[in-house]
Amino acid sequence: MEGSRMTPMDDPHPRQHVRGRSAASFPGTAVRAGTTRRLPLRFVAIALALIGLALAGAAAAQATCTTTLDYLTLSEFDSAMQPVIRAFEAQHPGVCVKMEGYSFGDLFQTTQVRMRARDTSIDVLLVDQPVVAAYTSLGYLSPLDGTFTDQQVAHTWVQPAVDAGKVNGHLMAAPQDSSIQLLYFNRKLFAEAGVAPPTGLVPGETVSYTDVAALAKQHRWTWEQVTAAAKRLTVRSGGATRTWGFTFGQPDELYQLQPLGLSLGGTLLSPDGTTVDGYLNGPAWRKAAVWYGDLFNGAKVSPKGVPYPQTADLFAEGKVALYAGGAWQLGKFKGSGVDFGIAPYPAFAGGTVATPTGGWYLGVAAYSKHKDEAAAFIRFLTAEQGAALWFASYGHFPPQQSVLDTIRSGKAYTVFPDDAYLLGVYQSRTTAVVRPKTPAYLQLHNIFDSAFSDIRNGADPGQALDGAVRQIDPYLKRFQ
Amino acid sequence: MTPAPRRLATLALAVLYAAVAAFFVVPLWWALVGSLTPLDDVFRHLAPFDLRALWPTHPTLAAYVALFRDHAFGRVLFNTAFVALATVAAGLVVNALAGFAFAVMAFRGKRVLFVAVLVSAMVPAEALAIPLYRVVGSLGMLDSYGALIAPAVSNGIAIFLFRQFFAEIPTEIMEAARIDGAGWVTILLRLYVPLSLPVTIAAGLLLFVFQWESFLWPLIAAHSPNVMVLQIALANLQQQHSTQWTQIFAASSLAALVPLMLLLPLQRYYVRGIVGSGVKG
Amino acid sequence: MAAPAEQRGPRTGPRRHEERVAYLFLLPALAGLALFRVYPIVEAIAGALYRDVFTSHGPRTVFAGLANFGSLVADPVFWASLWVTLELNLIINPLQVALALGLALMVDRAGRAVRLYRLLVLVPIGVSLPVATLVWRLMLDPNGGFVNALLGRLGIPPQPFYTSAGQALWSIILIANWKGVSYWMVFVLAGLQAIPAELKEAAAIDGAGPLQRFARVTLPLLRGPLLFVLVADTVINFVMFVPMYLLTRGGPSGATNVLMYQAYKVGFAFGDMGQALAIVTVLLALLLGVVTWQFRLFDRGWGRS
Repeated sequence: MEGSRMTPMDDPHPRQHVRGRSAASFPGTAVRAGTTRRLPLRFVAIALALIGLALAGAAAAQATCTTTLDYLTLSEFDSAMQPVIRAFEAQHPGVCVKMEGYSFGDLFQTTQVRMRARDTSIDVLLVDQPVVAAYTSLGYLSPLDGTFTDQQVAHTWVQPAVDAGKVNGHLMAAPQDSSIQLLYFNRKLFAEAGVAPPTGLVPGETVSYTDVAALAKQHRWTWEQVTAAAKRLTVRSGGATRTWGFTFGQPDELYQLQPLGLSLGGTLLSPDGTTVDGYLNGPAWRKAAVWYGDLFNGAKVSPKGVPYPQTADLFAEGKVALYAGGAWQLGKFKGSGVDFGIAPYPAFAGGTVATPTGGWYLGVAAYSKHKDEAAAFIRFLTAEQGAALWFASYGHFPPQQSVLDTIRSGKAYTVFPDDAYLLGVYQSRTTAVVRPKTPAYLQLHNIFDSAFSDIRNGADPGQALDGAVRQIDPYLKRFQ
Repeated sequence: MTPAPRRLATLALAVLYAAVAAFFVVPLWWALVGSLTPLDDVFRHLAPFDLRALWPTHPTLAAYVALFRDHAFGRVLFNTAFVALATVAAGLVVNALAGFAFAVMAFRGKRVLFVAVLVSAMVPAEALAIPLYRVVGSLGMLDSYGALIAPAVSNGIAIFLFRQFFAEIPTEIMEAARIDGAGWVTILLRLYVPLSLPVTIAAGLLLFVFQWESFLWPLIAAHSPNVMVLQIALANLQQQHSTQWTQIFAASSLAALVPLMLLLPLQRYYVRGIVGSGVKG
Repeated sequence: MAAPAEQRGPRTGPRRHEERVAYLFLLPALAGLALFRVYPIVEAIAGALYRDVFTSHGPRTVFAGLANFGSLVADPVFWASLWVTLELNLIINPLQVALALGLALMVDRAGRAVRLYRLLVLVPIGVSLPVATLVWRLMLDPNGGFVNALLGRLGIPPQPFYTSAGQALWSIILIANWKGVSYWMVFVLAGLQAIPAELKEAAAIDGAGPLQRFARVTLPLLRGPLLFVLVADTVINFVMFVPMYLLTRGGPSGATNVLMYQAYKVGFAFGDMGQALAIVTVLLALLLGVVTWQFRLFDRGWGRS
């Protein structure tokens, strides 16, 4: 690619470099009024016009906000958050809230990328419960100490929820919501296959809290039962699978799968949090991983390569019979018309019952220029009217005592499908396990998810777990 | 050769040619057809395989409508076009100036600087994205059009192309103009630029394609919805709606259409530009 | 004609003016290259020497010398990633050059039909790698994509493709070939068409068969374009990122975890910038080595022809 090594200045025979054109064909000093001269100008003109358009558009969008808060959040929350935002903006005239939504996977990375760059444009951060400690140590969060009174901190939320938001005694993030997980089942598919469905909450019944507690204690399915039923419910034809027996809502995710190992008596980390060796790759997790891999590679009852949220779409479209997922999908399934019932989240036979929980927290971004307004929004959403509005709008299980009281006493929660929330109250009191609080959570969950993704794709479970342990331990040591 | 083996050889050759053409054309064709087909039909014709997978059975624009209505593709296309055109506009000016200086003017350090330009052209953008991210971050430009445009404007290959092209133009004309007292800017604008259609197209295409196809850089430097460009929007679509095959097909068809319309007719200039600059040896 | 410009002293008026104008013309481009191309290389090497220490009050960046590189050496994932990168490049670069050559030979004929055929073959050049990856993701879908459907018709069971550690790298090679081979073919074709027909005729008259003509006449004259394609292609393939990000996320089981993806993961998913820059530095050094080696081949080849 060196090309000619001689410059025009020291080449005595310039004509020889003109490929295929004689010097006479060049126009000399005459200006050619051809398209060649207009070409660059046309580009410039178009570019200028587009710049003008963009500026005009930006100006028009400014509206009447003196302060605009940028709320970095999940794109899924967008439409459901609007009622909350409207109520907040009505109470705080001049302050507008703009949601910047990302997918679940992208949100973590975007937060990292932009907060590491000390982006001042973000005001409110959506923080997954286990990474509150990590974000604090990374310096992303501004403490919320002045935003709530001691009374508020002590009595607004259930104790575990507020504890998870505290780091070294300071409230770094306030709980927006919690979550509960359920086993949804498609009644029509069960009937068609002639398989007995799990005992659970179905349309047309009225239940009380006692009924729900009894259901959870006595009629919980085991994961083994799930696999057995799923095998009979999976329908294959023409070389493709038409109906799947079972799927997790969030395959490979630590949030979804942590109860598997816990149910068999294992933990993720050592008690002092310094290592995963012997824990994540201990006998309990090995057994859990083998069961998990079998879903995709042995029994083949779960689809490979379908991530969240498409798994929920599958259930809503009636293409999967059993779905282990969040209560926040109730609205979607109700609206899709699928004939479903709700059963308690399974556990391994003979093991302890563990159910996923934990939700999203809100923090003030450390480099925000509108910290007071951001704190006001957070207080509104997590401790004031916003909490009830958010629950009504999105359906995430609430951590606020006031909203929990409405569930416990509300008539609406004695009938299907909202009686699932009664089940949630039982679960959050008795079986819920939070994710480990470690500053290396980002690395832990990333490597855990990769390992289980590999297991889903056919890797040997023991080797995948050993590999994960080898990758996680150095990070745990670095964060001590 | 006796007739029978010859016919066999011709048949085998024909099969080879057909298979190769099919390999290159079918995937994009399937995507285009799929973008115009209802979602269920796409799956229905795949299991078991049916040749109807390659023809739109009940043509519908629903996928395209969904792209613009639900996924803000209008904004994305605007962002992409704006960034690409701005890069081309600024890039043509900046790189042509430099190419002209290297080709025609005399100054100290010319050889060293030209080698430096060539070496910088050899380093792929992908490898520099992560450290570049810190550089652009400290300039406070992250997540803006500037983050996408500024690093792409100076392009070593474009400078090389301009330099090679301008170097071919006989210097007598330039010398004559100099003697007549013409300034350098006049010489560039009135002598060289009017002749430079082929290299302008080649360099313009180069800059356009570079910007259009950028992925890692926009992924980390311009991810927010108001500056998101097409390739990243495609990635998001895949990650959030991977079962919406028809929408992915529609977005892919749109994304492939623009460069195809530009490159297929103009690739002669592009190749002539690069090949004609001494590659052939 | 006046003496060449460079022989005159730079102090004389018009020369100095010319020099100043030249520097002015060069300024925007060189400033851009310096800031956005050269400085990041410096930043990569410098940044690799620092490490973030995490306290409960936030991160502090401290000088760590070669600690990041030390961590890499001790990290089996890094070595695996290095191996995958080398493996991929050792396969894909010669393969794409050979395929480009083969394709060019196929279309090196005259006639309208061939020109139309050439356009068909060129269809992928307008397609960006992300688009190619997405379309082929669906083509190779393990649950029943286009290819598995075809295979099903032929009685072959569905293949896991990019969800299996054994087939994932080959799936990526397939996609990259689909996108890139016809692009590189264009350069080889230009080289082929520059070979004067008389040379081939002369060899034929001397009794050389088609294979000998190819080996003795065509191939040596193609050395330039072929080596150009090899070098340019290697540079691109060495830092390939898109399919690893969109399709496999470096898996399954690290089978496609090339250095570029590992650097991204460590930097942006784990937030460990120092380590990520160390990987980038290693990658750049490797690339420099490979390209220098190929340039030597190039120069030697150039000299001989």
